Amino acid sequence: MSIRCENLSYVVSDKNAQRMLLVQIDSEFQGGKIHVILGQNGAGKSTLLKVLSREIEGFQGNVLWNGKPLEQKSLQSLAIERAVVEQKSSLAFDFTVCQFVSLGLEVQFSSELLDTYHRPVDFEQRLRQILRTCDLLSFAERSVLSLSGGEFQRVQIARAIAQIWPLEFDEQSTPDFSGRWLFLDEWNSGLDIAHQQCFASLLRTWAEAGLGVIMVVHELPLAMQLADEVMLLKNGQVFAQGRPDDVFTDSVLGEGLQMQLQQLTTETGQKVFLPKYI
Amino acid sequence: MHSSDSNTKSLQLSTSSNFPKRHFGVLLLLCIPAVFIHLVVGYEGFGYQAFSLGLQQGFSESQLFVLYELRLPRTVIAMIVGAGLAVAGVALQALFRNPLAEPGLIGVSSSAAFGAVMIMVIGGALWSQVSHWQVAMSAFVFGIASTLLIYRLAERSGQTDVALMLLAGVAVNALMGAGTQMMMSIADLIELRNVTFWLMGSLANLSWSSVAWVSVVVAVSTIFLWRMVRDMNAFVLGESSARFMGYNTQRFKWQVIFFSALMVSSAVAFVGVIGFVGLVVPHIVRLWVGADHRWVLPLSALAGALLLVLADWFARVLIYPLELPIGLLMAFLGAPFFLWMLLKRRHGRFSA
Repeated sequence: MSIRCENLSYVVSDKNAQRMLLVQIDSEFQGGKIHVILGQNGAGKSTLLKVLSREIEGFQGNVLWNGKPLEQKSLQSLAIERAVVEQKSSLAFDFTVCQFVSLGLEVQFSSELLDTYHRPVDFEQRLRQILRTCDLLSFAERSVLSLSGGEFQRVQIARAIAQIWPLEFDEQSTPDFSGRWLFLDEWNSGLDIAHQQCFASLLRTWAEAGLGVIMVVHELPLAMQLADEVMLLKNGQVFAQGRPDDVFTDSVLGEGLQMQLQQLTTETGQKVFLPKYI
Repeated sequence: MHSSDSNTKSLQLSTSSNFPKRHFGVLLLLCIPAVFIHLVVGYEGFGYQAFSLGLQQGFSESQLFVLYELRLPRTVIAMIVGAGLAVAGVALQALFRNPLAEPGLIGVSSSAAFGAVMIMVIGGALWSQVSHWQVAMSAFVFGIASTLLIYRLAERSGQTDVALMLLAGVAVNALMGAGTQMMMSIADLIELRNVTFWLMGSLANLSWSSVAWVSVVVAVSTIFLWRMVRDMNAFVLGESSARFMGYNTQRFKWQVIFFSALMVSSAVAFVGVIGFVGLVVPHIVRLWVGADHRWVLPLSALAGALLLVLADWFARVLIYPLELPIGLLMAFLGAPFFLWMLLKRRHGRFSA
């Protein structure tokens, strides 16, 4: 299970100038791992996620989804394999949290591409399980319009994971997520620290169950603790990628992110980088 | 874990399968007295008393003629147009991802009206007789063109800029209103009188063939839109979200634009401009059953039919023996309702 980018470039042309948002990216994302994409504003992080999730087309090079070109996969088959938590989202309709998460769940339940013969699970049971997992049961009946930004973000993540939650599973255990992908663009924005921790450990659990996670974040401590693989983009190019130990160094971060750093060492001997604000 | 499990088991989740039977039942039941009132109450001569007498002793031939040829078409067209405008409102609101979108407000109705008036006035010079078909076609061309225009203006990378949508609607309404006025200023007196009354909306004096034509359009469009209620649910989260969930958003947009413009323009071509039905009805239905389009769309069709039948009856008896144009009455009811919606709109990042 992997997504490979081969010589991937993406060019937008304004009136007369051409801007390269992504420049010759070669990389491989693997299922069952958490991939973190870092970079300054405008480095191409979100653009890369958009290309991978097939929101924008017309890129150059290849994106191979388990060896198959991305363009050849239908929207329906992508929908049951990968979900996306977008950065900005607005909603003017009064859905309840329950209904909102159901929209994701219906993708699996109604897909013609899945075996309709073996559907042992009950829709409502499944919904309840996902709401409980994401700590949303207590406001299942609230209107999403009444939620705070962080609460709405949790509902968004719940809808996304519901979309790719495999149908066959035993209610007590974590399902087998292999072959499924979750793309998150700044999923932690607006979330309080406790819920960031809660979702970080959920993402870890799901990744261990086979889920491939690709996320764009800005917070270094979060990235360092969560990442299995890191990619650092600068001006649309891969500035550094690899294991966290290789990427999270003074020089790479300092140059790649153009930031002032201070390095601390924890009691357990772990290196921690903190941004120096003043 | 176990204790929380047993707690949550009892929690009833308002998900999918709970079809709101009660709501459908209530609306259907209300339709029966509404139709009855519309048919027989408030007429002199052959009113309620004559009707109940007729039920016992049989109707005379002239009474049957009045009932079937004069009154029943009006009742049916009121319900059909009410349902069609409400469904068009639901569909356009899903397309624009905002409950403030409405065929009248964003200029679809006024564009269709301009198309219709233009053919009525100019067409007389070109052809000896202008048919309803030609009027309806012209209304449709302008209706769909304005829907496309407003959508292109208000869309920003898969989200809708509501302020732009409403402002563009203001501009289109002004332009089409001016065009309509211009057409009326060059019309001769008889045409002018016809056009003026038709513009304000009237459900009276329609033949069964006109009623049948509008009914077919509304029925076909409603069925097509009804098949897309799940797409609507996904689309209001944003176009990219709907694509990520596997929906064909391109096809969805075209179908919504086509069928809602078709319904609105054929309603305009036959009964004139009746605004705010598409705004008021879906809004009330949402307050009642929530935002799920699977229930909002069919319930809005029923509620729209009910509302327009009652409003038409009210317009007929309010200043009896004169008759208030139904379009005016709906504007008197709908515009304050729209202002109330604007006032109570929640402020925050979701309301945009």
